[in-house]
Amino acid sequence: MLFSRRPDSFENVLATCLDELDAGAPLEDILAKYPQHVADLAPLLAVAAQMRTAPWPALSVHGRVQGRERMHAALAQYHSGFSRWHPSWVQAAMALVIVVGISAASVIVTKQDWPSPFATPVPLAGATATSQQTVVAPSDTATTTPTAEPSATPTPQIATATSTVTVTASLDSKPATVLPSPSLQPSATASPWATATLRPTPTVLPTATLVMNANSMSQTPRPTDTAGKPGPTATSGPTGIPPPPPPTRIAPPKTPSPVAAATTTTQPPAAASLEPPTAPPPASAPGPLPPRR
Amino acid sequence: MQDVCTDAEMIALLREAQRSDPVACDRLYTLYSDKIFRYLYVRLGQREVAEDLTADVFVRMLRELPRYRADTTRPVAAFSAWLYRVASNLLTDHYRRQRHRHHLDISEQTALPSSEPVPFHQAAAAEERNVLLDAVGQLGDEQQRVVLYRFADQLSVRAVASAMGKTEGAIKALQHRALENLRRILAATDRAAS
Repeated sequence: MLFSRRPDSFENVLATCLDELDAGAPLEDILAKYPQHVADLAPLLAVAAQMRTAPWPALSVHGRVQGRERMHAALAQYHSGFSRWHPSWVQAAMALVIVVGISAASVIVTKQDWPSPFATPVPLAGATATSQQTVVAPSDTATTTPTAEPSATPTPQIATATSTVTVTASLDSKPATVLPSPSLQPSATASPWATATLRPTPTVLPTATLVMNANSMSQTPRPTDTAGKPGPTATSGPTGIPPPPPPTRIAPPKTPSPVAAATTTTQPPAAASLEPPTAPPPASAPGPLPPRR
Repeated sequence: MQDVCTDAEMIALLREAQRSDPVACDRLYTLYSDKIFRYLYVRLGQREVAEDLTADVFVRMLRELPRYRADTTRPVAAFSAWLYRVASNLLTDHYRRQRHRHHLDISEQTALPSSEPVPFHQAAAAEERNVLLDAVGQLGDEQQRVVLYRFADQLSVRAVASAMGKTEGAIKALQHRALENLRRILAATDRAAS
């Protein structure tokens, strides 16, 4: 700096005077030492003295404590590991790793032959949970043997749910009863996901038994329903539950899928049983079965 | 606690703080919290906002510290300048958010209970302080820091030069210009008041 190199520059004189002022020397004594700069020094030293004695603001106790707490809270968050200090791309990468890991784990679990918790028959409101179902192929004989009475007051939702569970349980818990046939894929008895791998064809209709089962849950069993029905043989169980209707009554889908099959099975009886919840079918005096054709 | 630290101390302090050592971070807070608060307060004129922003500065400091490269030749000055830059950026963000105009609230700065009568000399002292703070707030950034260092923190020219990373001559020149500007601003304020 040009001015700082000169020992007698005004900046140096001012700095010296300020140092003397800091040391406690009177202003008049300081000015008397520099008579040639008095006119310039006097107002500046007055301002400096004013600044020196001014009550400068400082952090209040509350503000100091609060600021320190916030800083230590941020430190604790930093020490907690995954925190906001991480860049966004690190967070995105970690989220991607988690998603990929979960997907890989689910694929591995799916491919293993572990019994699925969904294969366990779930009793729903006293409804039949372990009905035995035998699909005999290639004939159209289906035998339904419920081991318990259906619920006295089955709701449409229960009937629908039971029908789904029944198919899963019967195919899963009784794999030996499912006879190998061209209509069933070999994985139907080996896989715990029988409902997913069982693909009905037009010749084998497990969906037909499902219809009957759902129907039996929502309707009063009529032993006479099985009599005089055309088509394949259907026998009722020991409890007098009506046997499933002939499987051929419901046309299977041309390109069936598990979802499509489930949808198809519930159509005729579900349409009858899936009444609006506000008016469920009376349990004590259920109406007759709808006429079948 | 000592209000200044040497370059060697600062290097060690920054090394520990970059490892998120709470003691080192607390020491940095002790060293700089009042300075940063005054720097913000003379610009904002509002104590609460200045205190909030001061806390924000140190939270931001913790966030940015791992990426901070300490200057081994003049660590105190470099870190001080860096911290003031953080404060300045936060102040800019605050102005952008709030579209707040710089003003000084005299009643807020008296810090006296409103229910008690304010003695005349206290009110006069508070007004004088407000006038001074307002004048300092009108200075440029470097002059303002020199005034705060020299008169509020009562640092020597050498210490200020170290803190700001400038030569002593530059600090003397800044000090001179700052006092000249203050004299001019205060004279204008006196004329306006009379």
